[in-house]
Amino acid sequence: MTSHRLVIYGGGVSAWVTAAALTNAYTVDVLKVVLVNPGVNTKEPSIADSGFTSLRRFHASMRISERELMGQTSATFKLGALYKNWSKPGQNFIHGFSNYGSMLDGIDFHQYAVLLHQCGDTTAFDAYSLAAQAAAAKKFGFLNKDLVEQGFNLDYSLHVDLSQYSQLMQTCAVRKHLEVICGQLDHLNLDADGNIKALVLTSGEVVGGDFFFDCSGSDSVLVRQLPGDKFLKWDKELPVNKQIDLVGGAAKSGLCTDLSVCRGGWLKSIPLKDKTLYSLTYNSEYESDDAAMTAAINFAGVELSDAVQPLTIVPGRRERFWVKNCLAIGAAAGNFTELTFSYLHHVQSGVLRFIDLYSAAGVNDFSAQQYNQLTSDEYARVLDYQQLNLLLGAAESSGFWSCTSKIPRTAELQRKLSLFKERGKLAFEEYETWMPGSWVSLLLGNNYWPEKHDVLLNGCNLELVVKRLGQMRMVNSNLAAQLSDEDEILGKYAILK
Amino acid sequence: MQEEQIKQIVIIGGGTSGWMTAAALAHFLKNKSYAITLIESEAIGTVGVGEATLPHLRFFNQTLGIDEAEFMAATNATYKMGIEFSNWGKMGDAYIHPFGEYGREINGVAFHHYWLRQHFQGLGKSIDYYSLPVVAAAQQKFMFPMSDERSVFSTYSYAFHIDAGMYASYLRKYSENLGVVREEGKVVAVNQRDNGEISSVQLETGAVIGGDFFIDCSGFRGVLIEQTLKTGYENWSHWLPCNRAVAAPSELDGALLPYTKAIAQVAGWRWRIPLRHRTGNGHVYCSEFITDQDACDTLMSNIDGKLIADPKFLQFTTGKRKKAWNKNCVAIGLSGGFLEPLESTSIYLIQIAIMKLIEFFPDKKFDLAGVDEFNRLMDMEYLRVRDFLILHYHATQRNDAPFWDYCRNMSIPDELAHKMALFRERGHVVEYQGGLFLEPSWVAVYLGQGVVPSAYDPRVNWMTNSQLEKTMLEIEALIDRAAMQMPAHHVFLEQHQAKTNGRPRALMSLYGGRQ
Ligand SMILES: Cc1cc2nc3c(=O)[nH]c(=O)nc-3n(C[C@H](O)[C@H](O)[C@H](O)COP(=O)(O)OP(=O)(O)OC[C@H]3O[C@@H](n4cnc5c(N)ncnc54)[C@H](O)[C@@H]3O)c2cc1C
Repeated sequence: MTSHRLVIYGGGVSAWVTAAALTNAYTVDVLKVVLVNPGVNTKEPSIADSGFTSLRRFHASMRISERELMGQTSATFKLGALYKNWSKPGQNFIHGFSNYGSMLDGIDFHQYAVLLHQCGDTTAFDAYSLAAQAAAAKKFGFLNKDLVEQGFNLDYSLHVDLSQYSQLMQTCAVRKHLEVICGQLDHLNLDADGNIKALVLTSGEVVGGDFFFDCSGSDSVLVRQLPGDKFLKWDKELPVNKQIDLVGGAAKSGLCTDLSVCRGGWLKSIPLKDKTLYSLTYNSEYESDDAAMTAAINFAGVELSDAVQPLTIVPGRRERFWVKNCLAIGAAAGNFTELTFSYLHHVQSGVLRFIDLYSAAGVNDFSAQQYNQLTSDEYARVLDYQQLNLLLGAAESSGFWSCTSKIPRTAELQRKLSLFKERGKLAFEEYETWMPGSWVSLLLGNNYWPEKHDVLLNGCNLELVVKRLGQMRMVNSNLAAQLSDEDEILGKYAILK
Repeated sequence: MQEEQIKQIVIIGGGTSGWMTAAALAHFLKNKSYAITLIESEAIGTVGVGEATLPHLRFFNQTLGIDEAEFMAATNATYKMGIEFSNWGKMGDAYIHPFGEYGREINGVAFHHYWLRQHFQGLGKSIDYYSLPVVAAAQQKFMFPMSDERSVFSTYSYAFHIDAGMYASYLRKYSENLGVVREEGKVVAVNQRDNGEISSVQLETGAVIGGDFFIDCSGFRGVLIEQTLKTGYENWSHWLPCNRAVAAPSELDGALLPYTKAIAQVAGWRWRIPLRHRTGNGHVYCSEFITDQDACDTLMSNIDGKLIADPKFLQFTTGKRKKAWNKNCVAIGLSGGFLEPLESTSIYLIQIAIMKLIEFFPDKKFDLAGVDEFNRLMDMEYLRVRDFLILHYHATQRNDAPFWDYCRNMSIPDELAHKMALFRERGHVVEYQGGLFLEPSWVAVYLGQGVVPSAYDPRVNWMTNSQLEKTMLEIEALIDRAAMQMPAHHVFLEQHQAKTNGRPRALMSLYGGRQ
């Protein structure tokens, strides 16, 4: 029906996910999708991903069976992130996807926690989270309809092996109608307006198309060559420049991604079914590579190996993502650190937004403008969230952490902080990646307490509040205890081929 | 902390905004040792118009525990499923902007893209035929929507036409039952503290009423927010040039329509709002393009029933107070800003201000960040409604009158221009969370007023032509059958007037359960 062609350049996760999403959205007689695989290592995360709940929606929209996907990607269920020694030495806080407490008398739950805190109560905030209670007890389960109707939830996402995930996306895309060409880019053929006409490969092959996706990782091979391209560095906003990735054995539990502070930066571990990805992200001004390597090795509990070297990372983003008829996706568009961010979410959100805006029939000028605006906003809010994590990381004050309070903040983050500090209210922003409840629990769980509580709680019956909150905690831990053992349910649920 | 708590709340004004505020505060602050006083002046009176509402009002009532059947009886209410706009895009055009959806999302793509594909092929009907609230309203039918998302009866919601004066009286009783004290009298002087905060107001009688927190519901005057605090006003008349109205109620005549009518005129538009006991009529116009006399004559010659009262003239300036919340004073209602009643948004904006006021309720220190956030959120609401209203005037091909020439050619806010360009380019509707009108509303007005995209979402091409045709026919038939099952509006009103059962839970949404 049409000869409209979309061409993807890249062979890493972002390329295969993009291919899968595009071939899922468009049938072959509508838009033909071609992927040019350079067959080299793409500079983008490639070992494991700690997903957001959006990941599951993505799979559902592609009609991918979660059970099969989990079996094929060494996946574990993820209930949240465990902040170990983050804001306070010795304190563990689980930041779950699902809610903390439930609204009482039309007033947000967390306001009651603030009230009790002001009266000297020291209950950990995650005692009110079913996800946290379940994760701490190594339990997991799917809540039945009755519980859901009563307002309980146990939202989850997945930890997945990225190379296996790429494989799966490749299979999906090829099964649909993806055409794969192997070859490396030699140069671009541009027309007089600066639009890409074709990729000319080193083999001499010319791959023409109507629209091009730069999925080449942080080298941004295509967009870099387009007129007016610019990279905006976040060297002040996210002041880290090195990362060490190590793979170790399976962790005791797969339910949480772990985060903790260390002198040079932070440590993160993503537990898969059969192995764990350990990473140390740091700033080389505050920690030497050798010291960082020692810390990473200790953290991962693996042997030192010459094969592992610190990688240089350059946090930042392209000024524009959609330029002419080319769109940068994933690391080619922006480099966040992996602190509390999901690379799969980053990629999927980019390609889904494209699909939401693209017109094959005519011009895309305003669509491109809109894409760039929305993505800039999205990135800015993600950056806010990451910076907030850095601000909260008070368990360590030396090294890297001596500089975190000087990080320049956006007006939006400043507003969030002052409004929350004042009375525990969360400022509204459009195009957030995290729900208001996630921000609130991150703040309170990491001991960022407001000065005052909601005025509407003045004069309320304190004894009754104490009693009701006690009941909530009890219900949570009872419910958690009734869930299945994590290993057992994972074994039954994930289908191994 | 206790001594920082606000104790005396004073509301100036007993119009719709004053009594809605009083009722909501009395409800939310009950048992909390607040004293709420409302001052109003019978001599000044209220604007006395404002009868068409949005579905959100149901949520307001529900939150306050007000029984909907009782409310309807007390306000002589009828049901409303949308607004019919005639002669806006061009003379002879008419479309209904429904409280509901068009068709349904198919494979993750909004219905209007499927509709556009057929439209480009010269097939299919007007998009009106694919929306149940449009079809039902046009046939003067009404029935409560259902919450089951699989049912086509979940694709709409409803609001009311009410007698706003009776609503205020109803809320007055509600408030007084909860301890609100009403003071009759005209505020003639306002006293301020050194820091500029208002300390008390003085009535004509000499009585002085002190307070910690003042809510200005005094209407266009803005007795506290403007006359006292000189907060300033952002004037938007260059975008929304209508600045006067003449209104006159008439006796019931003809059908009891379940929708509001907004009929464009040579220099403005006329409304027609059917209540149980009378019809509300009015003409909103721009004085630069028509005289009061001509405007009034136009209104008179279009009224069906016998006049009940003399025509009443009103003047206004479209715009918004620079800060709705300034020091210890919050402006709610007409004192906070005025956007003309084309989409019945005033009472909604009152409601939003009240809800946010409760969310950010202060103590005597007046939380700085909280006040800023309140103002920022209210600004966002006003601006988004404003742009949607401007669209109605600007998206026109009318060239039969200087007023329409002006509107067609005026420069519009950048954000709106961008939104329209995106829709023209490929039928994309900009999404946002913080604002009232979402995709179905924008689609209704764009397509209803001749803003037609030049492309659609290519995802819809997965269907073959015959599959598409079949699907479109199915949706049309489904809606047609559903509308047929619905009783006539006036019959439904009779039968269900006193019934509380069967009314679906109210949501803060214009479009019903599915959204
Ligand atoms: C032409 C027109 C049509 C409209 N149509 C709609 C519609 O269909 N739907 C909708 O939602 N909205 C509509 N509105 C808006 C709606 O009328 C108002 O939002 C609503 O009536 C609220 O008004 P208010 O309470 O703020 O002010 P008013 O009704 O003006 O009340 C002001 C109050 O303050 C008191 N007051 C003033 N000064 C003093 C003083 N010095 N001392 C003591 N008391 C004082 C008055 O006595 C009165 O009680 C319309 C408005 C206009 C102009």
